[in-house]
Amino acid sequence: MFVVNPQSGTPIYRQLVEQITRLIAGGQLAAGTELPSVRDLAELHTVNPMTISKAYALLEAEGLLERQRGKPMRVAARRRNQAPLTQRLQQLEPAVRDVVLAARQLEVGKKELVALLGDEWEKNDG
Amino acid sequence: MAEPLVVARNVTKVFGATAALTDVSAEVFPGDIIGVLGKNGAGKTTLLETLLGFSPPSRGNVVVFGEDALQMSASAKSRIGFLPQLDEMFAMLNGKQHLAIVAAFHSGWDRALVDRLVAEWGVPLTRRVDSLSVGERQKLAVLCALGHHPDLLVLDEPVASLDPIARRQFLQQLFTIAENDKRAVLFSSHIVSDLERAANKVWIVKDGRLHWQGELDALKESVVRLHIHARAPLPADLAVPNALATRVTGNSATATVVQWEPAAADTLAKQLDSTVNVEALGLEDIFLELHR
Amino acid sequence: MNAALRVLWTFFTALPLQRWLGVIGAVLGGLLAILGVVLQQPLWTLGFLVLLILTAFPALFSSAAVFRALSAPRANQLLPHFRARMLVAIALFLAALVASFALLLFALSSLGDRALPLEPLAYAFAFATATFMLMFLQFGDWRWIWLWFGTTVGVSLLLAFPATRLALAATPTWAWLVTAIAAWIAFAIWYVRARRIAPLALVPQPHARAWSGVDLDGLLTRESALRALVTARPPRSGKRVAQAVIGIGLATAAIVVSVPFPFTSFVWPFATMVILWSKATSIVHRSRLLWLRMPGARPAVRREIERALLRNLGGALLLLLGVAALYASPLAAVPPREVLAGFALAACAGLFGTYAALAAIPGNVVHLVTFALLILAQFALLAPPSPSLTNAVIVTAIELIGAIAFRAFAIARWRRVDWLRLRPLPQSNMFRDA
Repeated sequence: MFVVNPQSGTPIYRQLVEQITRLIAGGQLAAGTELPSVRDLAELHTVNPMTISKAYALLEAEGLLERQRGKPMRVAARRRNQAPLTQRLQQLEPAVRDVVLAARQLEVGKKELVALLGDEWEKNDG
Repeated sequence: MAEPLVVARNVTKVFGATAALTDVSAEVFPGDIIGVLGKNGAGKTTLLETLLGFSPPSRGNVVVFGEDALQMSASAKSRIGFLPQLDEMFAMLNGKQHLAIVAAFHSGWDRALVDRLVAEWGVPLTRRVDSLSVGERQKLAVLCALGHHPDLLVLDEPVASLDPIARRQFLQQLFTIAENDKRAVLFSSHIVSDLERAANKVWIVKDGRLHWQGELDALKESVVRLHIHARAPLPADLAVPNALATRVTGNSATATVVQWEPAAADTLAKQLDSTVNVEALGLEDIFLELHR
Repeated sequence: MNAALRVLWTFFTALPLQRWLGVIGAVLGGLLAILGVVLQQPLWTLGFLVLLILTAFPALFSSAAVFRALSAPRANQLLPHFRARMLVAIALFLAALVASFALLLFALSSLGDRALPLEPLAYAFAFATATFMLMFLQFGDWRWIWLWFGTTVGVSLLLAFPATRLALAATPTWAWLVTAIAAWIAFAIWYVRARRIAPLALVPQPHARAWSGVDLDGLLTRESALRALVTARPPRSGKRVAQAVIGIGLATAAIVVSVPFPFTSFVWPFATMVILWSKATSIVHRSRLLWLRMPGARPAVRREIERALLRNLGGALLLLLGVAALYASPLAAVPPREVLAGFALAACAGLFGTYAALAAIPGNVVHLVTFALLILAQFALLAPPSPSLTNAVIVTAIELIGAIAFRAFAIARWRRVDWLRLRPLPQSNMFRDA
């Protein structure tokens, strides 16, 4: 379900937080979906369970996940626009920076890049 | 915050003219899995053995479970599990006899756990220790260290000779131990990838000093590599704040910085009239950069 | 050639002690030479003798250890012409020893205007050969020590009876020389063709079979587990009794034939001291294993180790009692005063060796000097055929005082023993690879 790379420069908990956040935002994790338990996920990826708990706790604090007594964490019911636009834009910034850098390296102009973005957006709307 | 299990205060260890450890202060809290990382000869073994009282420090002191490490009571010592780096097994005993001898010292020896792990890890018990492979010896030694459910488990290079499967099994067992948040594990290893999976805290030992100690996550967020691309050539002696190493080639520069704050990227970009890309570094790269 | 010379150098400098002795010998030799020039006496010969004793003699023993230590690792077998070079090194070593001895003899003979005697050279060569071979064997497997024992008994037997004694003296010198050369040829052939050379074993360990088949389930108490750790012997081993009986049997044989060696000669105290010292050393080096298994501070561990050492000593004393009884019996019919003196001598020597080992954590120059002095006293004062009772009492007193002093020294040093440095000794290789 998740890609965990312990050797990455990004801490494991942050990788999880980012992935889960994106999956929820993208709709792949619908409200009410149960996530794997801390122990199962830790065993699957052979990482310290504490780092999984840290990720889950952070997401719970942000309101994306909710805890159930005796059962694993589950995706909280989504409220539209729960985070302000500026915050959501901030989350996109790293990806955008990467795209712009790649475009510059490939000597692709701004107009062409915007057009490409538009095409990609159209594709996913269907 | 809970009471620390181990407290080292200003520990210095001098052998003749060389200082193996200089002014080391550290704490081990329950629930920690601490990875000790360092070059060969940096002082990892000296540190671990001094913490457990095997070696009296030249200066400073160590307190374990609230008692002086050099004068621990029976109850304190029974809560410690130790795996030394150099094999201390008798070549002429077999695994079963070794486990029996070790078990005789601990009233809380968990025979069921040891039997289960022997089966899972494939540790031969009926062959003499000198006929076992290095990996099998190491697995046996690990079992001797954790069979009595110690509250403090100290392992010196526990997985150096284990194959990847055995290392995974070992890590899983570590996590099971650490689930009990009254326990702590302290292990030194060269295998950085294992540390990245298992440790929540890291001690980096360099030339006998604790160069860095703290959370692994914080370390990864603190040490980054900056890629700077400017419109005009950058000065050869470019000074980037908190940089460990800087390399300038024409319009571009690479700098490894410590104590990084994300907000500093924009400040630096404006200052140098350039784009600044931040590359997060894995633990192995961080270790290499800290030793440049 | 370079490699062979390097190995040769290692024979003389392997142990720090050897280097110390070399320096002392050079200094003393130099001083004596200068003194000789001043006094216009040829004292340089004496100086050379001192240098030779201090360097060549220890080198003879350590060369066997170094030779084995270098020959054993399989990686070394891959070096080009490795074994040939090692043999060259040994040949050079022998040549150096013989040449030095020859030089000494030449100096002494030129003093008296006599011709250079070749016979002592042959004997020296044979002696060096025998010593090297026996030490080499022993460092591979300590059971060869029985060969030493057998040789001593055999030689004593030969010397005891006038007929054989005369026959021995009449053996032509060249016979010894030829035997020694033949031994070297055989050794060289074996060495070049041996598939595997056993690694160096510095101290004897209990044999592997001591533990095989021992089922410890339900047998171990904390106390017996502690003992097993420290002595590396299984609990409740009845083999001890068997060993004691064999030991006494051999001792009987030794006494019967070694009439030249009375109970109060240096043989018994020297042997007891050295054997107990080596056994005590391996126990002391295992003390590290007790640290996390025994409550309290370092003195507690020291007391437990001391208890183990004294049990060890007790076993040796029982054996000595048997030997004493044999000496007192009609077999040797030694007067009771002498029996008592001999027993006290050996017992205190054992005590000395034990406590010297306890204080050697690790050892230092003080140890070795004290040991050397005692050995000197033993050899000097207790030389056969019949050392006086007064001498025996003197040496016993020295041993006892030495033991007490070492104990006090040990108690002080153990307060800060550093187990980072004091580790179990490398184990013997009396087992075949699986």
